[in-house]
Amino acid sequence: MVDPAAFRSDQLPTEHFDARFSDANLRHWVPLLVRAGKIAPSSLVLDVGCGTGGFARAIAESVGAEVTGCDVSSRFIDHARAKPKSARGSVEWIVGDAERLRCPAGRSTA
Amino acid sequence: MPSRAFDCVILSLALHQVSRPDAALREAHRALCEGGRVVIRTIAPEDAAERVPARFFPSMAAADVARMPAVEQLESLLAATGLVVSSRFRSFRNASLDIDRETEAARTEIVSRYPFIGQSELENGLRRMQRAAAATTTWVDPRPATFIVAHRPATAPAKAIPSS
Repeated sequence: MVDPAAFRSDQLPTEHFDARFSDANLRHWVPLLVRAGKIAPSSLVLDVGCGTGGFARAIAESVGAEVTGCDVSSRFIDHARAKPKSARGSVEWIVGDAERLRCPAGRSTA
Repeated sequence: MPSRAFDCVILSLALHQVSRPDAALREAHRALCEGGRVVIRTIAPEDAAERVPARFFPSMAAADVARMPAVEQLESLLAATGLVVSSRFRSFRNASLDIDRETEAARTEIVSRYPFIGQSELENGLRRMQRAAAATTTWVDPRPATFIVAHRPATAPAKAIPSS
């Protein structure tokens, strides 16, 4: 039995992790995520375990969606926040645990 | 905490990092609006061992195979959470790799997350990686990922009590 926490990505240096969101990786994976999620302009999207937020930001920019990126690592979220605002759509960053989301900005169902 | 309604929840290489993936999927379900979609991006255990750098470091490959959930297991968890799986597909990244960058990245991964890999496995692995890179003009890692797409169904209206 492998302990998943022993391999958590937040043990990696920030810059090393952020290389997962290279331009070539974004060009390949983001259109697939957008199509699979039927993400449209003004869709509300929650990226759980967003890391340094490369996919979240690219989804906002490519379709104009409103994206919230959530990660357990405050270091990764700080890195995401320090980047310029997305040119299209919007991105918001929260530190949170995938198993106990403190519910972020979304459309209230109440 | 009130439930909020997202149109889409993305879990990209996330579920294998939490100790309770079922709890994470319940949270995803709660965050979604009716009809909203969850997109899981994962690496199937059978693909994990073939990736660079794992394919050059047997202990890393074994750990990665063991820690990645089977696609069928994720689909069962989705179903148990009330999320309806609509599609599954595999996509190949076919990344062109640079040996210097991959060497540096492998060292960082091993120091940070695979400390059980000893000096001889490290050196052997790096040597095999150098040879693999030198054997071809463009060194490509297929690097497949599997996508599972599911949605939160509309709540069924309460059934009318049949009149007797």
